[in-house]
Amino acid sequence: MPIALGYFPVAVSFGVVAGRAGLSALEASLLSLFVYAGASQFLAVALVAGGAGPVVTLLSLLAVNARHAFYGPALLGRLGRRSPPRPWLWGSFLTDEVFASAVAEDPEKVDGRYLLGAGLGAYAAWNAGTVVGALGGSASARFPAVDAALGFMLTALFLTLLLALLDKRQAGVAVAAGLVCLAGTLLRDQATGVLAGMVAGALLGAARAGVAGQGRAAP
Amino acid sequence: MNSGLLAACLVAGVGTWALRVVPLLLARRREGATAGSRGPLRPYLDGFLSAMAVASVAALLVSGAEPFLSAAWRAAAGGDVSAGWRQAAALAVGLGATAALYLWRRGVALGTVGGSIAYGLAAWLLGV
Repeated sequence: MPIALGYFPVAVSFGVVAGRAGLSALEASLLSLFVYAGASQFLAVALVAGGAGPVVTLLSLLAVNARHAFYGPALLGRLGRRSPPRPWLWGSFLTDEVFASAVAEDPEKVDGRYLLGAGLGAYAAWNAGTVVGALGGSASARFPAVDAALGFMLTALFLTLLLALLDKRQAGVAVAAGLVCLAGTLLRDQATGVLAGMVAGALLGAARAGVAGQGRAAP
Repeated sequence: MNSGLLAACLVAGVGTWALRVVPLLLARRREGATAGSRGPLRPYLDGFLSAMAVASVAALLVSGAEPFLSAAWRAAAGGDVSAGWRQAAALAVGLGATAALYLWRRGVALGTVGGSIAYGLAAWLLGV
């Protein structure tokens, strides 16, 4: 439920942005229905508004979403033998937010019902919010404070998710990921920055775990 | 309806689904095949995967905040230092309110919506 509540306003802001970029409510809704990956959808809208063709838009969407390939294995590693059946079903809804929430939750509580409930709730909220934003979004232009708030929602959502996940042991991972992401974004583009940042942070986590493992194995 | 965009949506949807599900199915199969065994690289793989959540969300946060920071930087570098500071101040208010509201009730929705409202009001009052 908290993910769905957090998703809805972000999806409204996506619908608003899509409408302003010239997409119809149907086009914005189809993006949310089929792609269902917030950050890449914002990027796709920016590309379409900038005149990019379908092939460039498609490749950019897939490049930004490449990080999702790590989420399923990471969640399995956390759940171990308790991982629920039918992964092809609950894995379909494994977005950044659902993944982050599942990792932040007590592993005992993360079963098939949790993952499917969180995933379907978030999917419904995302699509409902997109429709609301695309149909009624033009009204927000008359209220500059509302307009600015809608533009900030995705950043705020990621900050709350990071706070939910973070503990002292992984502060270095977050800092490394953030710095590498910033460098990659400034030197190349957002997709490269995000992918480079998350891989750099995870590699730091791997190095630490490996060193700790060797320390335990030493006589 | 833009047919090119529709085709891109469909293919990206299938591709994104495959990116989510195929590695998950492969990892599950591998877990089943190697249950109980721990190779020398296993601690590194476990560390990599367990750090993935924090790393990805931290990267996404920076990616989301970067346009706000860049806009403030561009305004200041373009000679309008006051505008740069006002944009940076609105961002600081938004991030600070988001963190404070989240930490107060540990609520993702409260932090997200409350922080965004705080940013919107700050941006409006500061003329960003």
